[in-house]
Amino acid sequence: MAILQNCRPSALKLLVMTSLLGSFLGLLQAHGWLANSALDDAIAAHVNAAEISQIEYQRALKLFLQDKREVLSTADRQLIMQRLIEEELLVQWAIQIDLLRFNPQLRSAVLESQLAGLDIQRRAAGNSSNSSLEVLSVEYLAALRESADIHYGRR
Amino acid sequence: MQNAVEQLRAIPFGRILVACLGLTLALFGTNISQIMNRPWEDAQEVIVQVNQQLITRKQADMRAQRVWDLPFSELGVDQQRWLIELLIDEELLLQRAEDRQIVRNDPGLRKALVAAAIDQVVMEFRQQAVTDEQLLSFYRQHQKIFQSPLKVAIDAIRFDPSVDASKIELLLANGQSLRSIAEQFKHRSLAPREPLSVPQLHRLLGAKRANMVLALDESEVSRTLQSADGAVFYQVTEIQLPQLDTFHLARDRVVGEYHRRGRELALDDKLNHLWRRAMIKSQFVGRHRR
Repeated sequence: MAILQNCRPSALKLLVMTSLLGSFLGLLQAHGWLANSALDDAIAAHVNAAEISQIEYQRALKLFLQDKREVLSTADRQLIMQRLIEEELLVQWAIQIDLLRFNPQLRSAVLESQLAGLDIQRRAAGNSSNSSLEVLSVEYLAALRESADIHYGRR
Repeated sequence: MQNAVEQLRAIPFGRILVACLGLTLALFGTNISQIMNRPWEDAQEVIVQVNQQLITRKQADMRAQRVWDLPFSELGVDQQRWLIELLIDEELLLQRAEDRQIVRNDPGLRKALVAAAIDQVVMEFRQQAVTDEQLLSFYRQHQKIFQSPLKVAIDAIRFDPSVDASKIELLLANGQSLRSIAEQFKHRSLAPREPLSVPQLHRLLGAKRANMVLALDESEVSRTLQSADGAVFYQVTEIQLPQLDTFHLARDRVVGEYHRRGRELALDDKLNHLWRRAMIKSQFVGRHRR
């Protein structure tokens, strides 16, 4: 406080102004408004922090063309881009509201995929017995638990 | 010490308030959106915390129901302990999947994620109670669904090539109906007598002749259409204009349509909302509603 009392009013004003400016720029950065507005050649679209690559977009155009058997119009291209952006928006929303944990089907699918990943690792290591997967899962989970911060609450 | 307390008292209350707000924001600011978007965790009992991720009693209940068909509280101590350890293991695997962005990048899981998001939108829509006002507004906005279609009844007669077409035209000009003339010549109508909808007419007559018939007024007869099989005449015998059922008459249908279309509208509204809130850069601007 003594430091603040010893400051001149003009210096304090400058401090407040720069703090506000910093906060404002931080807010712009957080919302991505400071990002380069031009799209990279490899990027077809930005959706918040995620990107839709040109490869993905071209793949979707090809799939659409297979069904349509005509030349793609600008409206078709726009529709396909819209669908890709909508998919990305739903993905981001689902992650944001934690559906990964609260949707039983999705939760099971993710857990199964994680265990399948472990199985692939086991096979890659040249081991094919069933018990090895269990052992590997236990070891893997033990390693995860070791580095985790776990607090038990009331039961 | 007394000097410090006096200095503290000298600080205006407003500054202390701003400082406290700043401190609160610094501590919890990054998690505010997460906290606000988790309605499930409101005031729920936390049974375990794994890397700051809360596992609540509700989650344990859901899992216990799936495994033993019992709520968590009715499980034995060993079962509860086993379930909690299982939930911890699952949580660790889920966090690992999140860290590696597996859900986002694995095409199968990404598809499952999108399907889960759509299910969530539909579930939220279904949970909303529907008021009569909402139904009425839906009925007014989608009146075409609840109106009976335009229907036209016709006589379509093809006279044998042996019959002189000009004789038919003369009889028609004298005010006789096509049906009575056909009866005189023992000919039958090519079309059913009951009123037909526009698609039915198109299927029966083909687009060109259906459009010609639809342009006729009631009782009006078409011009003579000559073909190798003989002369064909069409006469419109009845026109049933589209009629809108009242809301009370159509209420059950309105409810059905509201739920069927409402799911699509709810998804469209959600996407529109997400789109407006998002930072999107692409070569195309804006979103067209579905």
